[in-house]
Amino acid sequence: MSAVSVIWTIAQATFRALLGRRRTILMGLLALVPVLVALLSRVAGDGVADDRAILDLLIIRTVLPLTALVFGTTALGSELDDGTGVALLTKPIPRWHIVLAKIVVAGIVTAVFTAVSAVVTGILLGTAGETLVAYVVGVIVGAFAYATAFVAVSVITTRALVVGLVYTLLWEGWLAGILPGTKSLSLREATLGVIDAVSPPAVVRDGLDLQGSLTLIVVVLVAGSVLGAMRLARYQVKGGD
Amino acid sequence: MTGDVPAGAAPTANGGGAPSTGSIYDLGYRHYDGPRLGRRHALVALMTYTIRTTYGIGRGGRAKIIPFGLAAMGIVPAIVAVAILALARQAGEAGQLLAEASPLRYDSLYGAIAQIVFLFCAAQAPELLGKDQRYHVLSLYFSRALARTDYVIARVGGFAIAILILVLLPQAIVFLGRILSAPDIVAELGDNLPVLPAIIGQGLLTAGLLGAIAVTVSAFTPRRAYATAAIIAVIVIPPVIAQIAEQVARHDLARWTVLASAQDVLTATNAWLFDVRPDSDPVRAAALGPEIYFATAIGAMVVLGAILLRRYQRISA
Amino acid sequence: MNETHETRQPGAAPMASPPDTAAPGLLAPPAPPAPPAAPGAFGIQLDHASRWYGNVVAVNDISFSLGPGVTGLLGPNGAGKTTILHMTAGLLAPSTGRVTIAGEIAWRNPSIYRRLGLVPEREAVPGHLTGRQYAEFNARLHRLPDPRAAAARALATVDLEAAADRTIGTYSKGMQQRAKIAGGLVHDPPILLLDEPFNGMDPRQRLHMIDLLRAMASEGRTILFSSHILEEVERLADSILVIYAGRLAAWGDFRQIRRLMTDRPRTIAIHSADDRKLATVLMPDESVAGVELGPAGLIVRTGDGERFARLLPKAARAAGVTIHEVLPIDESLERVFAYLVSR
Repeated sequence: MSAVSVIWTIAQATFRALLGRRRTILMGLLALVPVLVALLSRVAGDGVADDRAILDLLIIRTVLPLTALVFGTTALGSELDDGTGVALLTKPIPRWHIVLAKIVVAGIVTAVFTAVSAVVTGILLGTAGETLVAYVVGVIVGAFAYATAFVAVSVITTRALVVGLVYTLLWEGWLAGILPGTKSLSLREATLGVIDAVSPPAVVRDGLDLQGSLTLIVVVLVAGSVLGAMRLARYQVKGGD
Repeated sequence: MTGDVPAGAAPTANGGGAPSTGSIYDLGYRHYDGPRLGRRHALVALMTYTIRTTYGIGRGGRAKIIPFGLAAMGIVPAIVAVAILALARQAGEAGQLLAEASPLRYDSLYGAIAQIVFLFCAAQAPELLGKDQRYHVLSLYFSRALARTDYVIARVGGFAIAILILVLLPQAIVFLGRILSAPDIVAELGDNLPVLPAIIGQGLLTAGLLGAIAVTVSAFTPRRAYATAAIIAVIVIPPVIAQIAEQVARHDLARWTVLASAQDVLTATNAWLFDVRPDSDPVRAAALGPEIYFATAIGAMVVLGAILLRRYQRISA
Repeated sequence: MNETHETRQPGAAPMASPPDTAAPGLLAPPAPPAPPAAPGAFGIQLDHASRWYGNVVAVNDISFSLGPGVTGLLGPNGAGKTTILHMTAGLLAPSTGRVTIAGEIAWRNPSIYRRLGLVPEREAVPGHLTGRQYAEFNARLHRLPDPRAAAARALATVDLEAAADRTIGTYSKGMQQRAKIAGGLVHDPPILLLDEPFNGMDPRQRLHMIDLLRAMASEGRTILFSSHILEEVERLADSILVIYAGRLAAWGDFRQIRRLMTDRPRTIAIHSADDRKLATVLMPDESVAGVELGPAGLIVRTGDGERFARLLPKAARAAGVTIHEVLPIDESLERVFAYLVSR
């Protein structure tokens, strides 16, 4: 059985595990928030809306990282925490197969939820087609980058969710405001950079250019996967008597 | 379990030597008949325990990383403010301007560390309530002098006090820094004392409101990850909605979205208590009177408290 | 504590035949220790393995090697059984020492899982999968060429074919355990580790499981299972490893262990033609700690079983008393364990 089929088997199981009823509903509600806000602005607003600002604020800065956080930290993390990860670890397969499968699934699920939310919101806000495409591209790239980072962190610590939140709220939010230099290490800025490169905004943003964005994303994708795989190879089960 | 065969017992083929009459051995168990400390003491004990658990005290190194780490991050702006102040005072005239222009004053301190407080709530509240639900420990609590309402009061109260510490510590540092770096300590003390009620008031509101939200959300799920994510969602998303509603919607009703956002409500009370302009666009745009914000904050605390009490009255233990 | 180390017979392969229930060992000298076999010949080998967490030592300098047959890992909760099983399964690294499976180090070596199956205690089986799907899932992860057939075989072995197409959520606890075992067996491993496999099973399921494991052991598999319930281990294991507070207290057939502990006082019931006379003859000997005459017979407490064993026939003959029956009345595993643990 080839590597691909092993990865696919793990991926199938992960899809099923991630998309349990409760989680799907909750993440669906989260993805619905921008749609509702866009609806509200259509119905109750005066029609003049900076759609890019809204998409940035709601999709890129809220839905994308939070969705990636939940799916990324639970794809592998929940199994390692409750002991069912042993089923994967006691198999004669290289660890990077496992990590790769988890990252791919978490990335896909995050991308789908977020991109659909972005597209519907954008349509309601009357966003131009190519801007929307830019956002979808950015969301997909960002989803995989975030998912990789969070899956890697979930191998290292059981409190990956909190670590991810500290990163999102403090590093990407707070510190980026105070210390502009941190922007070059912020996935949010990288995602926005990709979006701006595909569809340049009216007012140039003070963030990362395409080169900087892609560099960070590629580094995170590669380093995250490698680090995650290496740590999983050295993973030791906890607890027991 | 000494395995001795008592004298006179009949041996059986499979080695039994148990006496034919039953007896209970005195293992030195001591019965206690003295005075007991009662309900209030139990409540206070649980409250103290809650505060200690929130900060990971008595639990080993790993449990302390997140709470102490966040608390340390919360202190950093205060220390920076004091440093700037001290240097400014030394620099004389030019320094005076710097001191006045310093972005870190009592009133702005809350805003500066707001994110840290949210993280603290989201990270630590699930730790308190999750394990009790997951491992069915509640029956142990309720079989003591502690009533179900006492459990809720102790948990919420303890957590609120923990947040209060988190929020007041930076303020205390700025306060002491100002006083100690002033040329005339007594005068400076006199200048700063009137601000104390505002500091404490805002601290109480923050601790109460955010604590109530965090604990109520945590009470509904034993899974730590869900609770953390839900708390963050409840705290972080409404301000975003309020902001957009303010920009986009001309309908008068949009102003009221601000009240659904705990962050903005606290910004508004902060602004009123310290008599400054509120730091948030939606709050400014909404132009609601201060009583409304205070009423919302206190009303929310009451409602959340009621929800919590009901939850724990009905929870099976 | 050197005495207990002597009871371990390094390299002795535990016997696969059912243990004898009579007590001829009382009168025969204990078997001499078997010569040590070559290392690596055995499935599982621990070589001075220890594991500590900061100040707490979970497993303390344990060495043993196991071959085909069923070995029970016996000890109270917290003694280190799960830690040993996790180290054996390559899921935990020993702090010092070596843990090898078929000659290869277990840690950080996914290829051992070709020959090893683990049935963990904690792991819950996914309720939304059917038994068959779960077995096939495991078979695919093992990269077996024909996952379906392997799964069907495993399900047949655990006798779950009838319920294989129902979701595991609808299974009883015993069936869930069997589903877990099927998952651990799909790749037909020569070595099988089970952590508390009888947890939560009712007596009927337990008997079924015992039969199953015995059958697998008789095919030449090395099976190591842990339990804190003495009856289970007594019934199933050919040999036992007794763990207490992280240390190996004893290893081997428990009756053999018992006999080797010659300094343990033993209680023996004797039925003879004239108990009273026999008692007076036995009493003066220093190997006899106490004698009791009861309605059903004579009970002798002895501190030196070997000596008493030689004494009894001589004394009986000298007194002209015919012995009808000699029964050791405290040779259950429970007594053995209680004694080992109290040392």
